[in-house]
Amino acid sequence: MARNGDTRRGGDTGTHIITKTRPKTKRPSLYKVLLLNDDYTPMDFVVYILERFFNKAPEEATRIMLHVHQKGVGICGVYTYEVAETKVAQVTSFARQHEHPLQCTMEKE
Amino acid sequence: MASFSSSLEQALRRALQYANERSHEYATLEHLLLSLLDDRDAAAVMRACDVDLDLLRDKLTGYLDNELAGLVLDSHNDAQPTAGFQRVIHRAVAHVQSSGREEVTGANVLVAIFAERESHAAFFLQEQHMTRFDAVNYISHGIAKRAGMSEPRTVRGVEEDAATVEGGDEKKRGADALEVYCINLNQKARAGRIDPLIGRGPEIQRTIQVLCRRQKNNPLFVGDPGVGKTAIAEGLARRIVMGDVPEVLAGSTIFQLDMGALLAGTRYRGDFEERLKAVMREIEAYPGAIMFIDEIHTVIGAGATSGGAMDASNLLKPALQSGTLRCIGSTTYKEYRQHFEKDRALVRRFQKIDVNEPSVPDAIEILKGPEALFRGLPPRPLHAAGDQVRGRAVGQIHSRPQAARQGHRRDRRDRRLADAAARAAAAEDHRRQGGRVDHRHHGAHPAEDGVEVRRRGAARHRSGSEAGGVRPGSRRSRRLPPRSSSAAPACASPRSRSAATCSPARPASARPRWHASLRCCSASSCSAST
Repeated sequence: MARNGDTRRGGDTGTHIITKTRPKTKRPSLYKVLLLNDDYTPMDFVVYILERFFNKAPEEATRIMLHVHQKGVGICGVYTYEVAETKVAQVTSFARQHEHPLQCTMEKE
Repeated sequence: MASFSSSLEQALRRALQYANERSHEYATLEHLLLSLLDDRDAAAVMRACDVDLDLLRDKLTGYLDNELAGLVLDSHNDAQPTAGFQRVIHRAVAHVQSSGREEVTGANVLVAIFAERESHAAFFLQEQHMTRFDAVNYISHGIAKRAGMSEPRTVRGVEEDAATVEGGDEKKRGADALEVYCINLNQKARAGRIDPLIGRGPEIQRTIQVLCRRQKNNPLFVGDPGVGKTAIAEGLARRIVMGDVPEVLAGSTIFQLDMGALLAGTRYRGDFEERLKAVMREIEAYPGAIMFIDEIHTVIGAGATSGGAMDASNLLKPALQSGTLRCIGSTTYKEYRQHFEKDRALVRRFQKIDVNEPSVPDAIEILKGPEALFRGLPPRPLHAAGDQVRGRAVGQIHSRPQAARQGHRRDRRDRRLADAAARAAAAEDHRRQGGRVDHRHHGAHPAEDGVEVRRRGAARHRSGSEAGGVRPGSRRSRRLPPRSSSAAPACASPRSRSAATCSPARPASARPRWHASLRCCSASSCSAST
């Protein structure tokens, strides 16, 4: 009976439409670069990092630094994946050079 | 150690430049992709994968200008490649190294970009439905996504073997098939290696007419050997170069297909077809290209396996039919009848143009032509004082038709006029320089067999008066077996006797004269019977 049902659905000719699903490419998502709080990295070092690597004005850098200090985590900027990861790598290596345990991570927005 | 191809090196420099121009802090993969659009290898891959390069360029520049505002820096430091950028390059190099190649091309980098899943560069490519698989499929096997873009590629490994065996083979594969398997007659004409065509007005006219048709635009020259079929094609090329053709043909280029090169070195089944197809594809793609196949009967059966009907002529047929491939053929009456006419489907695709022996005045002009060329003067009237050489050669041409009619056959009976004239002139030149040369032997082709020479020898003795040209130990006497050289004059001089001794059953007049003498000479019993 299923056969009959098929023919009825496709009309008298018994033809069907083959549907082909095509995956739609998603636009790449953006990534947040985050700084994590710790008890050893000096505040002015964090401010300097925000100014140097994230191109922030001194006031805003200070604001973000305080945000990190108080909430434990702060957003430095939103970038594409490759820019975000480059910044993370730069900040991490710069902090290591100066022997500060500053953590910088990225997170999908 | 793998190195960057020069084109890729430029592309990388360009990518950094794009970033610097926009005072971006980093050079990203999008900068890289934008610069790869102008890289030969990468662009070829993208085109084969059905990517609209212009659209891609628009999208990329739009993205770089508008969406990367966060990267703009006030300070004028040089842009640094991002980690992703470096990873992509590193990946391409590693891939090239591990596959044992030497050069990193833009195509390798393009493939490496696909691994950066979260990048806009990969996104823009995927947006145009290009996948990494499409790219590697094309790069490895030449299988293109877009119809008609596929190119034949030999399997890797096989290629290496062939290259080490032949050395020069690599170049053949890389270069244009047209360059390798064809001779560009326009270039030849430009280099001055083609003499101007003399006479042949109607034939050229007809050829041009046929070439300008929309369909069935394939003229086929048929004429006896030596009348100048090839010369017509070459002359046409010369006229195209000189601009002496109707507007429709003005930008055309004639490529002479080199069947020898096409066949030489085809090792595997399909090699030949592959090359021919490559040539045809390039001819079709080349604006205003005309293919000239000399001795076109050779395409029949070329490349066919035992009994298979799939030969070169059948590969050509569809293109000939549709009018996309303009092809000039040339062949002799003999081959036309024996081979060409058998394939009626092929015949109907060509417009036959008979090429007759040039008239006596034309032949004289042909003789005058090169002389003027050598001296840098306009052709001069013949028979002028100091121009006896040509004059005598011309005299011979003049005498030829009458001679033929009278059955004297003073010059080569097997050569047609344009050719015969040139040979006569050459012989005269030689004679004037002091060489005593019998003009009949002068032009004897090395491939001519003993029968031919014997036949001539017999003819000479029959005429009797011209024996002076042959030196002792000349080709004739060397080739003839010792007995028959004495037999030839004996049986050839009186016609009736030779015919009677050799085959008394048939009347002598029913056969051509040389035939009788030939048979007589080649029969070893002949001298015994006289």
